[in-house]
Amino acid sequence: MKKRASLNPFWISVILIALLAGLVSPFGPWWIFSLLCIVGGFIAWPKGIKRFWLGFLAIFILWFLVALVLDIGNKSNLSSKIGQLFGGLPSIALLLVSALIGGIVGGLSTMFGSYIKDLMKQKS
Amino acid sequence: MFWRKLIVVSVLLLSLLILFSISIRTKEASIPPIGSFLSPFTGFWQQSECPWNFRNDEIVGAATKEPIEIIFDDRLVPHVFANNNEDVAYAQGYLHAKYRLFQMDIAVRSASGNLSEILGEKTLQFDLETRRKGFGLGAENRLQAWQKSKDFALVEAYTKGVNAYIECLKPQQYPLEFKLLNYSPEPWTPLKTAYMVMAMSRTLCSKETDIASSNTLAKLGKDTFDLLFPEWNPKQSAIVPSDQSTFVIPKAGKTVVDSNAVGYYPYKSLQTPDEGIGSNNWAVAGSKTASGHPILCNDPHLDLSLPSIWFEAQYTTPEFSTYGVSIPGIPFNLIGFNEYVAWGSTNVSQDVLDWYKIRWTNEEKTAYYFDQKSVPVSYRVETIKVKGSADVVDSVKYTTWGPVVYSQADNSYKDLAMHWLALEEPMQNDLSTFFDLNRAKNYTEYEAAVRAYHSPAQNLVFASKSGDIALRVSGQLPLKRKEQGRFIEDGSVSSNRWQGFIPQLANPEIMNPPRGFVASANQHSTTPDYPYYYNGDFDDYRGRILVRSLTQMGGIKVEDMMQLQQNNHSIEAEEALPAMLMNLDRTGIDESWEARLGKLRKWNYSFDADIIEPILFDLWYTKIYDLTWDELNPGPDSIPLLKPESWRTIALLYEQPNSIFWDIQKTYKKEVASDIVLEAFRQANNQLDGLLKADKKLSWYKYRKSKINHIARIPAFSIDQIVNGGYKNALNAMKEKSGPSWRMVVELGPETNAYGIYPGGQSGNPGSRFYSNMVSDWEKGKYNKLVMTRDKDRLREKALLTILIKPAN
Repeated sequence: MKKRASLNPFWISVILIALLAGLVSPFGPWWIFSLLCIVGGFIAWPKGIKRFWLGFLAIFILWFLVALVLDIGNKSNLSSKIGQLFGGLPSIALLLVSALIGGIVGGLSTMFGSYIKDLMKQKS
Repeated sequence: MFWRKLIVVSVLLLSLLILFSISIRTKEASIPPIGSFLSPFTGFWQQSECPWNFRNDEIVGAATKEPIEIIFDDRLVPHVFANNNEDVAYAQGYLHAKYRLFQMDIAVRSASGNLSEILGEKTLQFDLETRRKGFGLGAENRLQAWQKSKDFALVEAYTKGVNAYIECLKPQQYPLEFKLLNYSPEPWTPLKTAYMVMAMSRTLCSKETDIASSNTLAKLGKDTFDLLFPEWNPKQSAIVPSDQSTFVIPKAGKTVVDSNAVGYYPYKSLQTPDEGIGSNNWAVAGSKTASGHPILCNDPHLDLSLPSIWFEAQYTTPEFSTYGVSIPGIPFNLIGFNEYVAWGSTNVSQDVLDWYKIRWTNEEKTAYYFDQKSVPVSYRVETIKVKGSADVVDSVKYTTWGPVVYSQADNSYKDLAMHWLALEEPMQNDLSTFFDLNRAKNYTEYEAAVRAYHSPAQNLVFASKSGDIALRVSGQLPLKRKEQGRFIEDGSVSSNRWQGFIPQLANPEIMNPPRGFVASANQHSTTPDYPYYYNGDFDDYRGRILVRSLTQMGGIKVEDMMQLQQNNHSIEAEEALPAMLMNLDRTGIDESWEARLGKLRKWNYSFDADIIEPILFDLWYTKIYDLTWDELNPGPDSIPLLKPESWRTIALLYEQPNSIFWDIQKTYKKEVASDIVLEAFRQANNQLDGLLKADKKLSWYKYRKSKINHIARIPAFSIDQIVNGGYKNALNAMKEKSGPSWRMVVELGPETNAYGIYPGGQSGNPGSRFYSNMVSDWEKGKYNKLVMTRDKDRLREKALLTILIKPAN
């Protein structure tokens, strides 16, 4: 199977949004990345289902990787305890649930941003 | 079509943002805001302590006088090097906050009646009770006394240290529990430290049985009451026996005529501390040790919790160097040692909380009779914030005795006011007691420090490198006429007031006694020939095994003392079992139980972890006790009654096996002791059969089920099953939820040889590897070597990290 070109603009946008979200997230409330995704969706202006995947993938990957690094460093000491609070979730499930929460909000945000751009283009 | 999509997406996005940002409360639990809690940038993941978190750190612009260096060893024990006392206090505040912030916050909320602000309505009753008992007044009075002390600057420096840490906290760095409960830390104040002392007072000096005693007296009459509830156990070995004592006994004050207000009081007992609260401490003189140097030991038995109640540290200035444990929220080490001396603490357990019946002069209860005059009450308005609902306001009435805690609309002639030592402004300013102990160099300085102590009263043990050992019952102790405060008192006459305080010079003390040791385990402070009356909740067994063991021992080594701290022998079992066996009629016994009985006969009364005999004894004895004192069960109207102490029950089993107390009320038969003993034996064995069916490998520790709970009772942060021996009245006083919370043994030779351990870890963060790392060694009875040194290079070799705190200029 042929690999996708690494310079695919969609993936570049995903990576850019993930990187920028990673940079601003330590300095704001948990939803700060949503604003960034709205702007990202607006600028990148993806179409169709990619409107959602853009933000979803960026934030899902970002949250998953950051949490994974912390969890490995911590040898899952804490995540196993928090997992018990959430009805006995194993650490990996907690990682995925966390990333999913971020991902869904990210996806809806890029969707929203791209629709706003649609709206403005329609009007002009 | 486009508009619909846009609207759907906007609504969806907005509602998810809101849904993930609010905390959802159900009856059982509250779920934190899921977005911020699960975000790896703001949520719980941030508390996943990783190896790279242990980086050296430098804090500049601090409000200290001079630089402070803190070197953490491989157990995360900080060794603080400062140049003056204020900076020591500052560093301690900073460290307490850094590792135990939630613990400090919840303890203050609990003592100030502010739990409901974060936990909602489920803690409202608890908060109301705390407010009604005047905890606020007590804390304010304590603070007022402290403010007059020259050492108050230390409390202020401690406060600055706590706040320096809180101020630089970003929300993502808040301790885990703040995130779970969705609230923010608030600044520390000296008043909060005063509330911490109130929390200690609740644990250590609020126990009383006045209502139950009054009801039992009314039910039984004075003669039977005195037979069942003698105040002195003749077998007890007092902390300060008169033949070993060094203090001069002054004449007792004048007694006044008793005017007890006898009658039934329908009030439920308020929250009282657990029975397992108690401690051991002792010091042996060089004449009894192998090395010829004194050894001091202490193991306070408190509620076992995670994070632990204790925080371990060394503090060094050019003037002194001290090592020990402190309670986060309170400056100075409370138990420890320095380069010259060691000290430790157990609770005195004298009753300093009494109840007074109020006679109202009007139906509105705005005034009461006092020496035939009508005296108006004053009010203290308590406002409790409740999460998720409106504030609750309670106007608490205050009389000359204290707050009116018990009040019922239809029972106004039985309203009760509380008089509690912990609410009074200390006559002696005791802020400096523990600070002075930390830097004491000899007996004279120890004595000066402990004489200034106020409350909760403590048996403070002492040993020095110069060879002195001493133990002083320290604190202000009320001067009472005989039996005063044992029952509810008439509050309408001033003559029922305490007669002042026992003069400081008459506080029991023992120093360098001929027997070569001093020891306390919450037993009676003195022998009955002490000229002042006092009552209280005294231990009957640990003190005796301690004195017996130390009397027999010689050539003592540090290891012997460690073993003594973990001694599982129970004198209760040693005295009860022969009487139980004597009264057991074996003809009526199931054959399969005979083998078990044979084992029990050979048992050495030691509550070891992996044997079964203690279970049978405990079941059997508890059932005898319960069957015997059935007449003193709370009635259908749940009037609280008092049951005799265990030692008295055992004595009756020996002395009066045919008395009416053995009769079971429900049956027509007139039971005697042997009937009860046999019935209890049947019930105990049936229950044990059932337990063994469920678990063939059942042994004492599994049956006792000791655990260490997280302070907010979060099961995932708790430890469920402690594997060790011990019994409530053995020196190793393990109970379901309490036990030896810090074991320390210090040999005071030229080079201090010290060991200690507590069941927890230095960090309060459940995501830290230092959260509960010492529990398993503690379970096994191991100790850590406590390294007190001024040699920074030696510490740096094994240092985990170093923090430098530098002042602004």
